[in-house]
Amino acid sequence: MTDNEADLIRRAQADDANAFCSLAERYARRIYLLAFHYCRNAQDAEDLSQEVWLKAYQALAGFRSDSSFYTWLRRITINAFLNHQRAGTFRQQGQTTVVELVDADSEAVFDSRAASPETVYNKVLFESVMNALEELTPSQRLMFLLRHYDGMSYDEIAAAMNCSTGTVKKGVSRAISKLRAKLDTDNDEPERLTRLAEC
Amino acid sequence: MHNCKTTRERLTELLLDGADPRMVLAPELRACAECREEFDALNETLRAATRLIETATPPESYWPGYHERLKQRLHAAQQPRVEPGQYVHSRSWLTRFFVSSIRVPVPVGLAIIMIVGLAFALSIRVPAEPSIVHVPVEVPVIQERTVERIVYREKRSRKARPRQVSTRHDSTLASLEGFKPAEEVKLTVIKGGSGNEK
Repeated sequence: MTDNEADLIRRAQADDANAFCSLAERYARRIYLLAFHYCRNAQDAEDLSQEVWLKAYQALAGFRSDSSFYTWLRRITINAFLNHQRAGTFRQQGQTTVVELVDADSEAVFDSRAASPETVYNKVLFESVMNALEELTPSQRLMFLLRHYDGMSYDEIAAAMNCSTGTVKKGVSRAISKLRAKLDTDNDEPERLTRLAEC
Repeated sequence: MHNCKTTRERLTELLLDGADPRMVLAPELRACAECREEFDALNETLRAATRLIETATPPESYWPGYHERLKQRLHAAQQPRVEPGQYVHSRSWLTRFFVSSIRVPVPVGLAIIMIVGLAFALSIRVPAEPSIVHVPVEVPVIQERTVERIVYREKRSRKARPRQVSTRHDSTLASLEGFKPAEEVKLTVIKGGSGNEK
């Protein structure tokens, strides 16, 4: 934890909302991406990630610097994800993907007429992986994301999700197998779309 | 000794840790074509998943709006936070006593409600045990005495039985003094009757 971050935390604990927003700006992308891959919907990802920040703000008085700020924040994130999973409050998948959000936000990001083959390939790959993630159960998805994207150890995930290390290992392994099977099935799709883009 | 299962598990671990399994498991991968194939497939899958992050990250233009919305939510949800050990003096203790609540787990709450309900139901259904009070009461006791008396009655019969007076003749006669027969025997003799008639 840097001095600057420690200072921001102290100020946020003293009810300085601006200091807290500065902290949020540092980690917002990581939390947002975790949320996005977890719920596979841009609007849900924004709601969920902002809910994490609200909870963090309310609980900040209890942060004692025993761990890093991000470790503490990640625990809140996982709890928020699991609560949403239990409540089943996510939208139907596919209502708004991040690509659509990006398209709406900045016109130049994805223009089908001016898109390079690589951009088309990325978009198709994105859809393939998102479909593959949909095949996983919420728990498997969360275990995989924490292990692969966030670099948490099996023991850390097990402690955060309140389950055994063996369960986490099995969950991650199954998630990878499912992803692999799904991506193998969709293997021809990128080539087909790349050809279309070249035309 | 090469073990495909162990090698595949190690491959997954190494790839998830961001290491290059070709450095660590070179002999295993050289020896087994299936494990090599497994390595290629796993590597491709995880690379695709990693590239998803790059693709899914919103552009920079998205973030100012995101932070503005977060600020608005923070201000909307901003409440006076209470530090541990700090008391809110804006309300009197009596008001706080009546408006404060405690968090009880649902099973515990249900158990408490059931116990209270059961106790209430039992108190209604089972009447209170009567208390025993000892009060001295005077009861008049009727003392009865049984007296047995033998009464001899004279049997009424038309034909007088032969009495056994042979041995007690004198005393019987003596006791019959003053005896007046209450009945009279009248004999009617009809003349001119047959020989059988009396």
